[in-house]
Amino acid sequence: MDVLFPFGFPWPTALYLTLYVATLTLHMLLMHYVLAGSAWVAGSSLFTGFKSSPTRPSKIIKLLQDWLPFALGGAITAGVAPLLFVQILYQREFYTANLLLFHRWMSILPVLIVAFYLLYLQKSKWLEQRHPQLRPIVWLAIVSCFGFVGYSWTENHLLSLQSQDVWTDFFADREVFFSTIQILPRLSIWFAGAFSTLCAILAWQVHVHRGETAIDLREEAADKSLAVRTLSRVAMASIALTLLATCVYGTLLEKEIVQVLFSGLSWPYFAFALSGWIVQFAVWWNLSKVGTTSRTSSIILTTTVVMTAMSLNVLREAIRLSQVDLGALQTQHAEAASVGGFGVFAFFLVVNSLVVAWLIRSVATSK
Amino acid sequence: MFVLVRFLFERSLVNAFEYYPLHDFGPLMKGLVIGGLGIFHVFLAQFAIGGGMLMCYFQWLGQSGRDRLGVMRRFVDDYFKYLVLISFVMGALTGVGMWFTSIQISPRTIGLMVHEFHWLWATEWTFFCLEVVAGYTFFRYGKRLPDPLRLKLLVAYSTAAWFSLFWINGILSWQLTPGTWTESRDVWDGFFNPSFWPSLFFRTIVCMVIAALAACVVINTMPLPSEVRRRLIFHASHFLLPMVLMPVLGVWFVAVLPADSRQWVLGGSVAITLFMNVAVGASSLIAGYAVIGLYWQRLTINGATATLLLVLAFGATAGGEFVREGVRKPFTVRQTLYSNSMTPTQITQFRETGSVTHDPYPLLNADRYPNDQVRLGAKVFRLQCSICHTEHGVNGLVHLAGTWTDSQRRMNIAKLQHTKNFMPPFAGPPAEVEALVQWLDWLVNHEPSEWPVSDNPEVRQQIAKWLEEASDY
Repeated sequence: MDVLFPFGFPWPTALYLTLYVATLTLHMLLMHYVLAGSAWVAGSSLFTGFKSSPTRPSKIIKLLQDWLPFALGGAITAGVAPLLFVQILYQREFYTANLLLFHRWMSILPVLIVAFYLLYLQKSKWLEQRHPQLRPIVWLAIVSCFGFVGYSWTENHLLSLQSQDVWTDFFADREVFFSTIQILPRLSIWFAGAFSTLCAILAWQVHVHRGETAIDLREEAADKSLAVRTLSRVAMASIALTLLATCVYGTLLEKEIVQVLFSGLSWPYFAFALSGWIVQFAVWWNLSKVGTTSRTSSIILTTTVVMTAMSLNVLREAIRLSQVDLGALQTQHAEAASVGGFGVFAFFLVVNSLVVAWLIRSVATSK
Repeated sequence: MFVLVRFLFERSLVNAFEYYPLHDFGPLMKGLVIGGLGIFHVFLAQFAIGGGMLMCYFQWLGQSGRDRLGVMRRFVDDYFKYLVLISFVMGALTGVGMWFTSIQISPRTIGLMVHEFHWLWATEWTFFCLEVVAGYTFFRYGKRLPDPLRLKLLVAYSTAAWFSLFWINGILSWQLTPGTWTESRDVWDGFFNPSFWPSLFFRTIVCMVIAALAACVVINTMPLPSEVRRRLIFHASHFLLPMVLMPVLGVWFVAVLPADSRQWVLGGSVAITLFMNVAVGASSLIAGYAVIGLYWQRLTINGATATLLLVLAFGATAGGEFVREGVRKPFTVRQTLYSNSMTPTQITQFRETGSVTHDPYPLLNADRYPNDQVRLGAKVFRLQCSICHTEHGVNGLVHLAGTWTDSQRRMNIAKLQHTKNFMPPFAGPPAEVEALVQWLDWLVNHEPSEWPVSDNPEVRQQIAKWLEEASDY
């Protein structure tokens, strides 16, 4: 297919693909914050947690500890919409992969519940009063839970792309894990890329956060400068590692799939993703020199992060679309689109988005 | 026109019959797994909805000069912590879990539901987003905000939460009473179905009751003087008063049920009638305590009693949900999809072609069986029966049909919907009936390593005759 995604598809398929990519991107941004944020705090707590003298947590760590439970709640809620649209787009493939992985797949739910409660636990006074070495253990447990969930999703996605013969063998052999050489590089792309998203969101938080108890403004300013420089270094490393993982992954793809990625369907998105990373890298490079964020830099970073994330999701779909029976799916999409209710969805999407914006603005101006 | 719509719809379903890899849950009935999680999720979700309404009420009391003791704000903030920790975490994840579990249990049923109502589910999602933003914003900043803004946040939160009930209630009640949707296939005919309104009003009251009882538990955890505690409990008891409307709504709900479903509730099925009585009995006890004790006599309530009442409410919820699921039999979507996720048209087709002929997934333990006929029977069981039955465990076929003779089994299976009218029709040719009978007989006889193949043409002819007599579905 040589027409730009999603314009070359019949309108029902194009509509569902667009909604899927858009809502998946929203979910992905929050999920990146959770995954990279918990890994960051876990790494930091491992580094400082076993020291004999307690260390004052950095501004970034404080922000992450404070906001991660909300981010996880947001990520789960945002994840409902792509979970719905994937059932319309690729019902047979998605359901089969779910069923084949069975209890291994279902275990992501209790694992997420444990992670959620541990995120609240790390904010509690109870944990504060316990032995300081307990904290890194809690954080390691949290990041392990999220790592397992991320691994499971990647595994589920790759299994859903397989043929009926592979599914039948997987079932007959009572396999529990689906192993393929693609899992690790794909996970590496998501994991490394998550940090650049996290840094862009943290840049906003550092920019607007004034500190609730800081009396010494010089200390606050020094904290902010240190935070910006740390974010810059992490974000630049994240972009470089994501590019590296993408290259490794590209070498593992079959020739036909690579051709699809560079076809008219998706190459502009490849270019968007690449240019997004380049702009982000340049902005972070500049911020590492000046040591402070501005509204303009944060807007550029946010825009390019969203652009890159959305482009990567389109590329992900391009790979999937090249591996499924598109003809049969398009018939199903057309049948689904003939069902009523889209107008109601569109209406409440607008109304509820406006209410959300109004509430946030009301609270922000009230503070 | 309606006939044409229905024909096209069923044809698309027949063409789309997908075989999925089905798992054996051992002695655990699949329906119990989804039912158990469903009850737990419904209880938490209803707590979240009623909790939002209750906090709006207390916040309003606090800011409208009715809070002489000055504790309403504090109570709202404390209560919200529990709501976030229980409902936002467990409620949200068990909600996603319901989808995943539905896929594991009955992928074709959830597939049809998503197909028909995905835009309404997407609409519900927009309310989830509003609920989470309003809820977390209140949780984070509520203590610092002025009263009017606090109330706005709480109203936004509880409105969004109630609308999530509104949308899902339409989809769930459609499964039981699809109404004119079966002819028109119009999404709104299905959504605003006959049991939509009684179910919505009933569930709204249940939400208020759960929230009020949970409030009584929370109030008892707060270090408060007894007078303050008594006052808070009295205000919370206002949310229990609508329970007096429950009998009316319950009768309305039962009245709009299809006649065959209604008979299950009214004694036709012992289990369903029993669960109905459990729900009614538990609700009556709570209502009696609430109206006479808490409201009329202004009694207080301690933490243990409040917890006990909350457990009773859970029992009533479990009973009610069991009844709602049970009276749908033999359908998962009435007149459209049988409980084993087959349409009437698919059953007709499978009686010609065989139900498992094209199933690409082999038996996991094929060597366990003595011959191909028993293997075929095991496969038929997996596809057609295992959603509600096990071999030896819950609702096990060995317990239910073990004492039947072979001839009895043949007739009862071939004329399944006549044998028990909450069973779906058998979906296969005589060879599959006989294979299922042989598989069952082999199980009853303790799974010997050798088993004769049954290939008597007269038996097949008799089964074919019975199937023919039972083609009224």
